[in-house]
Amino acid sequence: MPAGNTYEAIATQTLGSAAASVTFSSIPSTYTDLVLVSNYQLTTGDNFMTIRFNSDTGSNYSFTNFYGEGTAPASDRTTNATAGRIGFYGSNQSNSIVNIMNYSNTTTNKTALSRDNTNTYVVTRVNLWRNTSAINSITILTSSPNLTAGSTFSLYGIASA
Amino acid sequence: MAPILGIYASQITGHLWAPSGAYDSIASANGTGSSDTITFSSIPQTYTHLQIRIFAKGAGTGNGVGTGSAIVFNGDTTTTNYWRQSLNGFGTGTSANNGNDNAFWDIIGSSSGLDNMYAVNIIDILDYTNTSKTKLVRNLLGEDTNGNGSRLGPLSGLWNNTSAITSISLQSFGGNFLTPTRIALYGIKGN
Repeated sequence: MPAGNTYEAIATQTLGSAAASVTFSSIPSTYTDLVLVSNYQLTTGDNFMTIRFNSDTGSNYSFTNFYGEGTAPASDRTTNATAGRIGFYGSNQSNSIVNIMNYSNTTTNKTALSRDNTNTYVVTRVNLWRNTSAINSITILTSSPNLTAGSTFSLYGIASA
Repeated sequence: MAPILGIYASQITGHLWAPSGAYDSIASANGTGSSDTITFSSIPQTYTHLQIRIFAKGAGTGNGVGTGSAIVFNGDTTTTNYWRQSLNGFGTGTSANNGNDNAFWDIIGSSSGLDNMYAVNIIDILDYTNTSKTKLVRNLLGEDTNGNGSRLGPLSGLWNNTSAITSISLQSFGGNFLTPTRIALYGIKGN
């Protein structure tokens, strides 16, 4: 069993003022998985949150949602998107925990598994990024409106033996 | 006693963080294309919970998204000693199903259109050393293939045995594990 920390905080960002995006760059490739833990709110409720890896704006993302909103579960999916999806459409406070698995391998596409929730919505979600590059940056963004001041984003690394 | 954030969080969602020194890597294994089973044996009994994080694909053609695969505890291959409850989102609908089996996790097989796409599973095994309780597993699994099939959802699994878990075998139902399949076992400490 290796000594030292297995589950480490890489970086945390807390917004001091409203902003449209948050980026983690120069992510070390020394971990096995990444975990992005976010608590945030939008200034108004008219957009989803999205996620991009390595600043890729191509139509290389797809995602499947399995969610409850109200009284019935539902599942839908989007293909060939220009960004992945996190969080929820709305201006309520949201939590998001995204597990980005085997992010530094250069052989496979990348898959991220998440659980997100607001007071009216809960979702499990899987994002696929069709690119074999190691992930070295992550951007969380919304085209409009902005993320509110006080929104927090923390990135962790998990190292396996 | 002050709450231990990571442990409380793990009991709620299984996928939060742990305080430094409370979450250890026990072992990991990589797929090489030559075997359909990965076994962790002689698991230390010094943790409170276990977590298995899986990134996996099988070589078997015709085994696409949603290829359930088995977990075997302590070499017990009698599937009627296990019970599974699944809740599934497929991107095009939802379902729930159960079975008297140990198909507690998923891989993606090598069907056409699924190149370089791997299934992910995060499995929590709580109180695994307790000899008074049967063992309950939960998994959050997900696979997306850009329109060639999806599966996503939570899964609950029971091993109807009170023995402490000392070994875990993960068996692919979709052929040998391909490179870079990675299965990692972690231990979460109590206080």
